Amino acid sequence: MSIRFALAVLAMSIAATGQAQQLRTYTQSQVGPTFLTYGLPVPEPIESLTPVDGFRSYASLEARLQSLALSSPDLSAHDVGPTLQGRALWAYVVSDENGVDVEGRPEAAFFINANTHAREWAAPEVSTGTVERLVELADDGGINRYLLDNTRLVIIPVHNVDGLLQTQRFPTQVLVGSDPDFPMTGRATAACGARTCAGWTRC
Amino acid sequence: MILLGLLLAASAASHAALDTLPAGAVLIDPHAAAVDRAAVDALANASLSAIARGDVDAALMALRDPSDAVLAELAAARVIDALQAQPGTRATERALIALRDFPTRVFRRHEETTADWFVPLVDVAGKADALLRMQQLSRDRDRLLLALQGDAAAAIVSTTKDARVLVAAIDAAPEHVLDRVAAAALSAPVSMPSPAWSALARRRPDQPILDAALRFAQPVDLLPLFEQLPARLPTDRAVAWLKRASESDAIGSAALLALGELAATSSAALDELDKHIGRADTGASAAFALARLPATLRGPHIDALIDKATTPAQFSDLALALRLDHSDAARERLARLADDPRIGASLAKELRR
Repeated sequence: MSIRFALAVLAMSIAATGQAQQLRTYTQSQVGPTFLTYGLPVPEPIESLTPVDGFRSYASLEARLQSLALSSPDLSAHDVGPTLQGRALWAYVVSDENGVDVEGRPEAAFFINANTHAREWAAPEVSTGTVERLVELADDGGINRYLLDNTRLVIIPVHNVDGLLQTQRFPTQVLVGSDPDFPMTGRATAACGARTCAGWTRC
Repeated sequence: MILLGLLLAASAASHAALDTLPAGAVLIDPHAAAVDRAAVDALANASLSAIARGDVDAALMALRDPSDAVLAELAAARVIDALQAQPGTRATERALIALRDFPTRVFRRHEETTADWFVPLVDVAGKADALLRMQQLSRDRDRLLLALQGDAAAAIVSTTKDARVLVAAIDAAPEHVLDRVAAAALSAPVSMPSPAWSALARRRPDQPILDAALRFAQPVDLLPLFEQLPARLPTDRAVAWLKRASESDAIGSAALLALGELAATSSAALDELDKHIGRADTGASAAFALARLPATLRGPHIDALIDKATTPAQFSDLALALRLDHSDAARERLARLADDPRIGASLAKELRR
């Protein structure tokens, strides 16, 4: 009896999930009920530490920033995680090491928190590019050096690490429809995806 | 009957959002709307039958007739999806051109905000336009395939404004046409559009083609090749090609990471990575590639490199390899390296953070 009950519950769960969420594939031009026509080549993550005409993979961005942190006195890496899935969550502090401005006052701090929405791949590139620019132009004797000497920029280039990894694992696919991880709302997730852990990676 | 799936499937296209609904627009909630699937099917089938008879006007009239705008737009979307699976005819083309002007009347709220931000439920016009473009590309490709059997060089030059046609032709070309494309491309390499070099290298990864691709293709077109090609080439050729690519500022990092994929089984690839450790331009990429080696190989290999390291840059790159490894064993090695008197104070400070 209990086994039959469990099977019935399982069957109902699968049926409910199947109705609620559907898999869609991004395409450049192809149209159809299972496609989301994008109009451009669908981006895929690129393995490269240096910037490319596209979006770097999360692992590449992490390697790039860690490399800069190990080689630059103006950049330090801090693990402020872990993520829900146990990964490191890196914050980078871009500043000189003394913590005060040129007149001895505490440095003003700025905070950039990027890529909470997992599918928005531009934000990690922009925030990583900000770090790259400040570090590579540290000896310009101008505005970059001024910022490094007088301010403290804290950047989390990828806030939603688990979600970004999930979207980069399936770059052309997305779940649309009600998300069973959000039964209390039961809606508002069409065109979102990247579900990996409840509450973290809806869009 | 609530048919969320039908509504979501029909709305599978990109939309421009509006902050004000147009006059006469219908706003629906896809999660609560009632749609009669049988009525949608019947209307779409009637329209498709008319198109099959060549009576496009009747097909369009059928779609525009219903007072139920949701029904009309869902049926129009169904018609476009069905036409995609059919061979293109004059009638289908006329129907799609007409559907490109199909009025959008049904909107839904954008799912990411409760503010007034409205998107079309079904982008009929956008779907029709996308399909017309695809069909035009197919026709242009077929014409080019014929032209390539004549004066291939001239045919290639004719595609410089839209390389997608040449790429599609190369993807579909039979071997004897591919021979002509390759010969023409190598005899006048600057005439070949960059994306076409990438397509040709995928189909015909011969040494002259691969070398020419490195010289004449743009980085954006070369990058995908690093994932697609090495596994298809003999290892020594793949290593030699990636080694040449690794000297490029724009694609060197990607080439080294591809080389790393071969390093588990190729000592030549592993040796090449080792040579980059400590280099200002490519050392970090080589370190990342080492961190991705199989666990049984990378630990002892990185240990050996640390033993031999002499410069701050080499220690920094090897520390990076350990940090990117993420394993407990690597963390232990990293802690030992932090106490190594040979590394500089700056690196030691970062490692102890």
